[in-house]
Amino acid sequence: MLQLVFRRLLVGFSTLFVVISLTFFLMRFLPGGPFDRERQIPPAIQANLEARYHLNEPLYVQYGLYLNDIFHGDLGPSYKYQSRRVNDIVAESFWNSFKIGLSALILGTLAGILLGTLAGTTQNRFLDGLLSLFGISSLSMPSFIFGGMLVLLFALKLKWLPAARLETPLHYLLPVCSLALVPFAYAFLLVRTSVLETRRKGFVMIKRSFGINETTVVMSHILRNSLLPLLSIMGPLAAAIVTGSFAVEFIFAIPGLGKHFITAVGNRDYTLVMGITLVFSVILILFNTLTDVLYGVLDPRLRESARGEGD
Amino acid sequence: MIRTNNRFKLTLKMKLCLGFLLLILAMAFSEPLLGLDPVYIHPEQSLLPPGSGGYWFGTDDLGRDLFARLAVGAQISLLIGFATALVAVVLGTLYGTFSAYFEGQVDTLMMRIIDVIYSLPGLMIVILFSVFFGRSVISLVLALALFSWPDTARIVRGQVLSLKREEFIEAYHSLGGDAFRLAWQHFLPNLMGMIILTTAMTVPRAILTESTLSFIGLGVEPPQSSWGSLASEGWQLVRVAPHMILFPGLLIFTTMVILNILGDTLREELEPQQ
Repeated sequence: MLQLVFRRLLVGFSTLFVVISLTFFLMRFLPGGPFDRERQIPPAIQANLEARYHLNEPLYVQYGLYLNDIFHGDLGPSYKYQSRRVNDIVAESFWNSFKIGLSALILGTLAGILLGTLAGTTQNRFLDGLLSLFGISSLSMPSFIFGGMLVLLFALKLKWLPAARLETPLHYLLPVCSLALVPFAYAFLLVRTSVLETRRKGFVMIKRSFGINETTVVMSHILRNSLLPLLSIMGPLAAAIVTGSFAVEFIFAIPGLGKHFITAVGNRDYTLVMGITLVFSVILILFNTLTDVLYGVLDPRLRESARGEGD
Repeated sequence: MIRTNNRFKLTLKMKLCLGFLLLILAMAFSEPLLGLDPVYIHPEQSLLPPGSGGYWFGTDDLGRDLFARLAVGAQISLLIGFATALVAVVLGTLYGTFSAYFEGQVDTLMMRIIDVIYSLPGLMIVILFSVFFGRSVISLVLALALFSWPDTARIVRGQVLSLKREEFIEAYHSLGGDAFRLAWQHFLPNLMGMIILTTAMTVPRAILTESTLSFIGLGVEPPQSSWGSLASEGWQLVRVAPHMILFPGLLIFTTMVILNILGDTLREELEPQQ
């Protein structure tokens, strides 16, 4: 068990190191610096600016300084918003992304479990087929198109809900639904297959032959055994939420991490880009490690063969 | 034996999917074949609704034929999807075969590298790479492929590992056959099913990622346009001309459904049962 945790943490830390180095060097080798503007700045000012942010030092010195800062929990100053620190921008936008992302993850997974169980247990082949088509459609629907359609229908045509920004709880409805689509699709397809498989297992037949009523069989025997595989896709689900948040924050003009990332790439705001990438990586690594460890706790067979090869 | 011996049967569902896929391919080729004009600007015909003025899908804000623009967009979107899958699958197959062939420490190390790649925030790194390489179609393909090959590598590795235990491979070794012929004549034909399967899984994902990137303005750049960038243009005008986002959206969605159903069916047929 400890070995499993240790392995995952090792992979986690090497991933973080790769992320930091990769983003650092990619950003530095990009043509054009953060202070190249259309309007020419006097060379002296340009030099002062670069000196202030250590951009005139050799690359390895900059890299060392950056690593040192990160080690002390400091993501550095923003190059674009010159009076602000990356830590503040990230902290501020993180909550917007976090609230939407977590609600979407919970909503999508719950809906997926519900409909997945329904599709897996129903005797009605038509209903199952319909739900499965719905599931594969959700998987195929890009979040930006789904979000766009929701806005078009509920905000512009019917005028029931606001189209953008996060002000009242009502504002959360459309972005959360758009973002929940992918987790829903993953959870639905997985739970349906898993329920179908569990239904054929011997112990379920035995329970049934005892005359236990169908609802109890489904709720306490089939479902309990079918939900374990769901843990294994929590990592990919979190990744899907992160990916989806870019498009959803773009559509709904939400000042979250994804929106800031897009702007920062355009502004060549090195430190902000790196800071946001780092935050997302930490979230993904935490999720992966947590689900692997939980998996190990819930399924003892995995502890024996703990090879840390989870997704 | 893992080899799927029974010949592939085309079900009605697959025939329907292939038919739709052909339609979309036909659309991509319709621009040069029918002589459609995606470029010419007709200011007096701006934002025509679908069906009017002889334009099936209407026109955009500059009066350009939306169908023609989507046909050109189809070329770019499909090209990126298939090219990414090609690069990723070749890379993944080589990596997976190599890893499984040597086993032991080499294998462990190579799989750890894949673990690390899996934990990277994919979309952000793809954005950084595509900006870094200069945001052309080729750089997008490379950036996307860089994050698509690990799936193939894992699947191929598993397959090669079990192939290596097969008697006919052992017999081949004991007869002193060389490694290249082993790979070419025995591994490759037996891996073909998995290679087709991973290709079918990679194409829709690449198309989806590309369209998302183009939608948020970090994908293909003008004058080139893909379905994603057309959807992005449509989104700017969603209040006045919803057809400009409806049609690209519908095309991306339909293509994704078809490719996903095809991939699913292939998986059911080809995936080795545990």
